[in-house]
Amino acid sequence: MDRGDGRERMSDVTSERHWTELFAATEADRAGEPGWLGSLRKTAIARFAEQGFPTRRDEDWRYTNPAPIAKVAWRPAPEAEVSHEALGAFALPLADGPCIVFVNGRHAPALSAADGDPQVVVASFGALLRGDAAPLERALAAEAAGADGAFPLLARAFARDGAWVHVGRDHAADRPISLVFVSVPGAAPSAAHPRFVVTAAPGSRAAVHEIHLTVGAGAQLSNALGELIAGDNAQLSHVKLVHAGAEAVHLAKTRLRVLRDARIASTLISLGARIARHDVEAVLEAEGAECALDGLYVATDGSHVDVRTLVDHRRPHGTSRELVKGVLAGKSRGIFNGKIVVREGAQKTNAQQKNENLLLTRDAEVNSKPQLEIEADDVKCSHGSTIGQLDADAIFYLRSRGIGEREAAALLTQAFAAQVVETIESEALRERVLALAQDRIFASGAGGVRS
Amino acid sequence: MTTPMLEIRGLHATAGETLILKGIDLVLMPGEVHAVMGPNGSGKSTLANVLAGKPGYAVVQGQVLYEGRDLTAMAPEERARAGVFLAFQYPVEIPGVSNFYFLKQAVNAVRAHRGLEELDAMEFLTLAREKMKLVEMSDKLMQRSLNEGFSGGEKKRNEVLQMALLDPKLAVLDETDSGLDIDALRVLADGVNALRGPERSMLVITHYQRLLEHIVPDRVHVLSGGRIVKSGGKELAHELEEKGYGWIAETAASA
Repeated sequence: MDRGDGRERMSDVTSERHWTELFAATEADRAGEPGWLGSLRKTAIARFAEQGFPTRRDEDWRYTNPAPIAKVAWRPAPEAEVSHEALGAFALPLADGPCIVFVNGRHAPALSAADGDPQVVVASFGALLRGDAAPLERALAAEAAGADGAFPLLARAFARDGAWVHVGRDHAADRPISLVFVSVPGAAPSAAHPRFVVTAAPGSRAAVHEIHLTVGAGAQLSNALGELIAGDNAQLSHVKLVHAGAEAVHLAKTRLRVLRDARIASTLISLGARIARHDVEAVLEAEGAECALDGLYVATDGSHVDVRTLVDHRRPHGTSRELVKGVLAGKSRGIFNGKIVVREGAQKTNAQQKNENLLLTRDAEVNSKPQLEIEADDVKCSHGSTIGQLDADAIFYLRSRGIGEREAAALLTQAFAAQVVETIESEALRERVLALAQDRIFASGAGGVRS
Repeated sequence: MTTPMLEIRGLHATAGETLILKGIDLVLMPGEVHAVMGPNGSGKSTLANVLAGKPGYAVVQGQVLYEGRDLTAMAPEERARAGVFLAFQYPVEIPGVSNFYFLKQAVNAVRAHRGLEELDAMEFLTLAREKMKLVEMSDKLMQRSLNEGFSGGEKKRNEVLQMALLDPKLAVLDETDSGLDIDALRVLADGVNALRGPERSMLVITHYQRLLEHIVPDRVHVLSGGRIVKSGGKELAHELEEKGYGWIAETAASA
């Protein structure tokens, strides 16, 4: 994918113009929107035009070349139908609680379901705009002040709709809330921008399952932008599952805001996609905030996955723990970039980070880069990273008991991944994730075991 | 004429680049238990690993027949399914794979090969509990990760439990007694003895004669420098115990 710098720059100019022209061309589609939303969009596209796409010269994009994504003239994802059966084929426990589904960026009420808990609001942005839009306006304005970068800006400018979740004060939501974003690729490369804002009010507890799926084949860009906020003393558990098609590009910026004595536990499961890039930013904004980030990325033949995490300790007595594991098969590439920042005054911070990688083939490659930036002097921080392969003695031991070589490799890989998958609270989702991960690695035929 | 369970003829084998076995001949008939004794470095473990098909070990000359079939042409899992079992000297710890799940998978892999139906979790548990009595093993070891954090004795019991569950025709016990106290040794030997039968042959590899007081062999072979330098009845083990391995080295040198 490497090309001369001159050509790359030229193509960048073209691709940026593509998006600004597209913004102008789709103006009419957004005619009914309130003025504040329109101005948020305009600010975003203007900032995008100003800063442009990143290139590999940007440190953040050194290992994931943005050019192959930036140069494509992605069209807005067309309206598409997804049947209950097509969604059901993934066998995910979507009916275990309220569920809101978006297909190519559009709310799909027929696939969505409420569960009648009045303390748990699960709605589309569109529904809020038709009623009391003030909370959404506040949330999106606050969010716009946070994350930056070309792709989040495009999501802000173009997202047609989004998921809104609000869990009431001191309320414990018993059932997991599912946010499902389905990509249905069209004939030409198309883009959708999944968005969500989840707020757990002070003292509340909830579990959110953010699920990205591809139905059908073809090139599609899913450019996600989401925020989860745990108010004082709130407990939020979040699972993000990406099960994308072989030609899919999944880019995501996810922001976790943890307030006083609150806790967010987030588990990322990234399966498939030709290119997947997850940018997770956890901000421990107040004293006693706690955050657990777990992740499993699986890359199969021909795919590229990039996981970036930033854990930002801003106030004292914060705790963060992070375990991100990678399984790389075929000719694939994985990147982990984990940064822990402890700001001045964030004393008594306890931050741990670990990245472990399992290479199943000789052609798989991984880059792991942990970073610590500590500006406080009374903290406990640790990080570590490992890259290894399946233990040959363990494989032989299993084979000597009649277990086939592939099964043995699958069993050991599953054991490697289990530590992350086990952090998923919902047993139904946990078991399904394990099966989906196994399928991705070993049933594709693209896996193959290092010999 | 009965086909031998195991027939080793002129076996030369390497571990990595090094030639370790330099001409082994051994015939094990159905129902027989033979002991292979020898000092460190004599090739005992290489013999066990060659029989189980461990990668990195290669037969460079001679043949190994299992029930008349070329054992060396079979993958390790095929050997296991066909009824060959190796009790490891150092069982491998596998974090994240429960002992229960592992044993069930292994039993079902072997059953599938024999044309038997798979056991479900409950059926397997019933079978496992029955066999666990043989080695006085507790239920809690079933739920733990395979061999992880097991004591030396627990690991060896787990090996014998696997042997009982997989019901092999040929069992190779590689220094199953090493690192065990006398009580643990007795439990283990009782478990192994309970598995003796006219259809099952065993090759008991050990450094110490002590085990052979509990698992009494039909024949004893002494391995030294990659060759069997002496074979005899069970009394050979006692003689070896009294005179030490130095005696064998002298005997071999003068032969």
